[in-house]
Amino acid sequence: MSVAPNGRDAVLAGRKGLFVIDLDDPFAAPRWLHHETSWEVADVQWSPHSSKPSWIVSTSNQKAMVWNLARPSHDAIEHVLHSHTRAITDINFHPNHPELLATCSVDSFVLCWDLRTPKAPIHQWADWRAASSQVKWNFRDPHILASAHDSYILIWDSRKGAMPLKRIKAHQARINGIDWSREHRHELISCSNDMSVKFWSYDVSCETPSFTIQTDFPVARARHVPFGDRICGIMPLRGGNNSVYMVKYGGKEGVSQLDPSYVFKGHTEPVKDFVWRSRHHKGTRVDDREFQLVTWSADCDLRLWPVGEDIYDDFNYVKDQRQLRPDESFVDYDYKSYRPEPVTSYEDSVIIRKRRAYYTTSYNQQTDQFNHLNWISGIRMGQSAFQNDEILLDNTQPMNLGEEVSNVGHKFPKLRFERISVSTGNMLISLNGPWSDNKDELIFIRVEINFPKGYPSKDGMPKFSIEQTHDLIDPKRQELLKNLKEIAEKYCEARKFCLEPCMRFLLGEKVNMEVEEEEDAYEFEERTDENEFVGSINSVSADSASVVSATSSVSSDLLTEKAFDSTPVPKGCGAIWTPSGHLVCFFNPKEEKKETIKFGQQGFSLMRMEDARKREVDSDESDDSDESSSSSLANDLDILQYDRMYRTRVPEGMRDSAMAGGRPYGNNDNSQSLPTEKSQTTANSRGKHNRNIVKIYDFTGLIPAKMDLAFGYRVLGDTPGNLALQNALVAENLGYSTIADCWRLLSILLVKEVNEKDSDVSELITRLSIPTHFFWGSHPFGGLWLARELMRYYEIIGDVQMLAMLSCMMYERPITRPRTPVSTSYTVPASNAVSRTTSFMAPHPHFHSAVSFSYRPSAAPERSVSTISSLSEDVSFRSNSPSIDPSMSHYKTHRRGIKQVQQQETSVPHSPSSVSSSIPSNVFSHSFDKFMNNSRPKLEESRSSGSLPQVKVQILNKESLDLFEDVQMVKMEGLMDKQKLDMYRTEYASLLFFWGLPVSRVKVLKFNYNGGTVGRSEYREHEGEIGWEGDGRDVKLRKCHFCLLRVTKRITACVNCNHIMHAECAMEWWEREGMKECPSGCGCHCLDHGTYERTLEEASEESDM
Amino acid sequence: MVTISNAHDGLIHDAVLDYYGKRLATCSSDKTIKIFQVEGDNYKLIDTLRGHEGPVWQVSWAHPKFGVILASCSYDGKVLIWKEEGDTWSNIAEHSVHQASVNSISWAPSEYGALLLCTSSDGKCSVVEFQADGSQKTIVWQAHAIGVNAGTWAPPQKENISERRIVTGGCDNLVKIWRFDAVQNTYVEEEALAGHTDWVRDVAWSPSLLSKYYIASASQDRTVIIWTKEVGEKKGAWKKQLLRHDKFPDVCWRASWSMSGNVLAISGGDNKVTLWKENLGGEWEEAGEVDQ
Repeated sequence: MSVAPNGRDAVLAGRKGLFVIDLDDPFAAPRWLHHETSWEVADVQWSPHSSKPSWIVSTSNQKAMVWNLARPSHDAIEHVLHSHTRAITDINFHPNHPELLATCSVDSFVLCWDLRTPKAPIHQWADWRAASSQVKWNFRDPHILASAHDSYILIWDSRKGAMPLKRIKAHQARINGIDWSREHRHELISCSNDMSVKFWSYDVSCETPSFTIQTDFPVARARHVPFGDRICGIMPLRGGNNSVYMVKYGGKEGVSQLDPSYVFKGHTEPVKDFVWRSRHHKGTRVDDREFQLVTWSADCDLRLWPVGEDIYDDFNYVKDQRQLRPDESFVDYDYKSYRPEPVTSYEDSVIIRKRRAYYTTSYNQQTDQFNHLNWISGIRMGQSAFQNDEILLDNTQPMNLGEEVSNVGHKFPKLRFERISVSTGNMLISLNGPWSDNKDELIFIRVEINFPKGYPSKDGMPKFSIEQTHDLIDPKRQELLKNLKEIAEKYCEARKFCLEPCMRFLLGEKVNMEVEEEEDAYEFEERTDENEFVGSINSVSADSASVVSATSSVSSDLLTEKAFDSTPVPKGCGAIWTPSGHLVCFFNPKEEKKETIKFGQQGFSLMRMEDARKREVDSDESDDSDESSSSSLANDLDILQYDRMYRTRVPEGMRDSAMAGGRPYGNNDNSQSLPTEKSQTTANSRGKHNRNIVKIYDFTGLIPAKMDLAFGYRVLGDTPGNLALQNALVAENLGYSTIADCWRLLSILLVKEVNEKDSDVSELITRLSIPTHFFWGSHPFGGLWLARELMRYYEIIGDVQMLAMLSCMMYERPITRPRTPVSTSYTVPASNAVSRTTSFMAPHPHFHSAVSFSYRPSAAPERSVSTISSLSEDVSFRSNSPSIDPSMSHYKTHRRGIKQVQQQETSVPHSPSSVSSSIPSNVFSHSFDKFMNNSRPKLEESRSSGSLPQVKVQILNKESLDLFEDVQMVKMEGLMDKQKLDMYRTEYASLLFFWGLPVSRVKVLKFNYNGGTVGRSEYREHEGEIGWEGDGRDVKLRKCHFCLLRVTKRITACVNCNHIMHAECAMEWWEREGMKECPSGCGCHCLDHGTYERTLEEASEESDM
Repeated sequence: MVTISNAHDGLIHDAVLDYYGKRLATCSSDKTIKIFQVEGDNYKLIDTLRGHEGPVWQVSWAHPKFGVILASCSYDGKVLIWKEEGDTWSNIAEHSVHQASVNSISWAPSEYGALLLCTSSDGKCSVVEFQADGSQKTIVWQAHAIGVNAGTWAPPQKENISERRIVTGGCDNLVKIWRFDAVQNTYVEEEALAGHTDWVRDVAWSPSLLSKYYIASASQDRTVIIWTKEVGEKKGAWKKQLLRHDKFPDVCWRASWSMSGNVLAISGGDNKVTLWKENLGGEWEEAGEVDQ
């Protein structure tokens, strides 16, 4: 980087060529002098001579290019100086002689050129041994120049030829920079990788420096400050807080630590170069120069630092005071920019922030045009970089016109900005809008907008003018102008920027005329204050600036959007649970992030942005390979300039965030590929290149409710104790030992029959006159306490499955429930009855399934039967049954119940009876009476016949009658909130449904329906909770048995059991699920009996009849 | 494990399995929604739904009792309802009351009917009721100042089914709880929970009703807060607890509870999904991690 002597322009050089920036009008697009080269530019220098104000010299490997900015950009190269054999490392114009310059190179030569004879150098000197890193002419003595070779400084006299005048062993390590004093002809400064800066007076001593500053960082440059006396600026090669230090060394001797009197701090990456920019009045005789420090850093920021009065004071420089010596005069430069554009404004403090953004792919397509918009969006005014980041985070408004324009430009890729001049507030935009008579046709419109100084404010409203064209009829044009003005007024009054709404309007979109949120405007006001304030602060607030904002790339993405609307950034990844315990994850791998790191790794390049641009095509190429592919000269350069170790040591995360923070618009170049022009989120454009992945992970192991257990569990059909044991087995087989243990415990709790044969116990019971229901559950060591603890444990774990299962197991059916698990309506052939009664060990399957869903011809029923059979020792049904059978054919099922009663009455009086205790139903007792009348004589008869003295009748199919649940068990009522238990069951039921176990679901849900209202159905034997006939008019009952929702339209009803379903649900149930039984749980095989389908109206008419 | 790569041309924003775990719906910046049939480790693309004019942020399956119905919301401010009949998908309804991007949608518990909650960047929430006759009833209310990023329903309370609640998270860094007021026929703010320092990106109300209400809120401030309240407690009793004491390594995008509220899945900007379980002492512990 170099600044023109008039202080107006700065030149940046890189692999793409030269960029000339007008520092007074940073918004203007820089002038770009193309020079494609694969080598880093080591140095660029602007001629300091007023006679050649447009001359610039830059290096290109072993050549030096002399540019003349006065010539057109495509033909600006005046000379090519080619004589070095290795890469040039430094260029220095002669301070007095405009045609002379010196170059030095890795080939250890120092050449002096006369630009009038550019073919060959006029002088050459060589160290022969070590590569040269710096060359500088003495300011006071036109013949003397110094060059640095490794750790030596050689001083040459142009009149003396091959031997150096002096040879100073200056440092322990390679010298990075030397600088002559402007006032004192024998004094020079050197700085080096050995972390020291030394001040020499070579006329005094070539062995010991007059003063040495020890630093804690390798020093890249140490230069005199052009004002004040004996002050130097020290720039670290790395470390040192990326700052530039000002040190007074006047009158100091010996060795001392770095004691800066001022620090310019703010860059986030090492500073690459710093120069002073000065201005003074023409022809002045007093020293009235003003200074600004210009720094260029690896963070791609070019910063201008104002020099405050305090600094001047500190450095003993008083403006307008010192009379110039007669022999001394300031060179008056023509204050003219070589970036040809007029000048109007002058900004005190400017940061030009360049983004890598405009070196990415899309930019490549238009390589010979500079993307002005991107340039503008890279400029921030008036804040230091840190404040910049933070403010932007909560910024919903652009900061200035430049930002606004760039926002709009990125948002509407269809707008063409034909001319942008932010400094003058003038721009020319063309677009296609729907303003022709024919609505569908878009017509071309060109608008010129002039933004006044105070914009946006009430007085600073932009002026619009629309070019007259053939397509745009004049009334329409007037109307447009009027509308634009209105919009602008509205927004400007609220001190809001209006370009976006205006452009929206012109493009034919709807414009929100309500300028919302007062606070927003207020916020903005605040911000403007801040701006003015910041301008003066930014140099002083070094400390506050050290707050490294933790914003990641995401937040910077975010702020782009916030400027538009509050749509949040898309989520980069997500995970959603499914009911089955799987986790659906989706990822959008961030390749973009890698790219960013790539850029970050290119820290070695002097002008990283240029470099990055070069690489955009083959961004996959690794750093190393890229480097090896460039020539050895580039390597030379590399070795000379930086320590490679350092680059790789820089934490990438830091770089990454620094990068990202600086490029809110990072990806907007891809905007053409965006799905809609509205959706301008950065991530969208990113997505184009990225893969995305959806994965479904199985995390069923983490969920306490287990599907495999659900397949095995039983809740009905046996005594709870046995069921619990059975469930324990299921759990054990599947390897859930904790759960199995729990079931075992429970099975003990739930045992309800104490061994009655133990006469002592029965005596005890009678003596104590405690109720015949005797459960271990009531024991102080067991029962309630344990049950409660179990429930609590599973509640904490959140195991709905166990909770629901436990609640079912320990369920206590309210006594009031007149449940009649009988079925007589359909006649069972006599043969069935016979076979049933005769074959004791093989209960009739048909009957079984008719009553219960849970019939399994497996272990459980058999076990229950066998335990029962052990009680009844000498049974002989075979002979008995024929005699009973005819008389009992109507009472098949009643008989069973009654017989148990009989049995209890006769043989085991103390045995708790499942039936008698819980069925006080009138129905039953009615039939009981009948039965008593009918059958008892017969039984007695058969008994008295003598062939078989004792008849014990055992209940069969007990398990299918669900009789056990009616027995009191552990009193859950007191233990837990019933509603809660219902809830667990419901929740578990829905889980079961998810798992494809609708039958289990219905069983579990059965426990939730107790007593309450019972339909007065004539089909008593079913007494489904929800029946169709009987209470047909009651809306409550019109619920589908499948989905439990009200039936409103088409229904399917079973002719047998009268249970109804939605027509659709029926299809689902019978066809897709392939079920055989009624979904209500009544056990009816509806399909065997036939169903009918009709609309509700038809059905209710029928039932009315 | 099913892995579907490059299903879309753009970023994927949501992927949801249906009620039975058979179908996967994904949506993307490429403005499309794709339906996959998932069976074991295999999957098959069934259909691609087009209709949105912007990136599609979220999709949501309705309860199967309403049919095979999918809702989707997009940057274009619209919510579209899709239905599968036969083997074809078609757009059966559109809900476009919002002026800005609709960021999330959520079907109400099926007990309430076909109600869909939509939250938008225009700062409003809306609840649309799709009625049997095809008409829609909409309630719109202002919820969060700058924008509403997410919203979900509370699980239905058995004893009091009319007491519907909604939780939303917005750009004002707040989590708000709303209760349906049948008299005013709108949702009234019941609670505003402050705790985050950046935008709340997702809220999830645990489906479990065991002993406490749990709400998880994930935010861009790199934290996830678990808000709990004992069932039956009065207003203002929400307790807040950080899921993780230190911050997450990156912003937190999404929170999702497993079916019975046992495990919470958090996905973040570092492209990692972490799983969390509450231990017996009431502390949250990491129970697993999924990396891309």
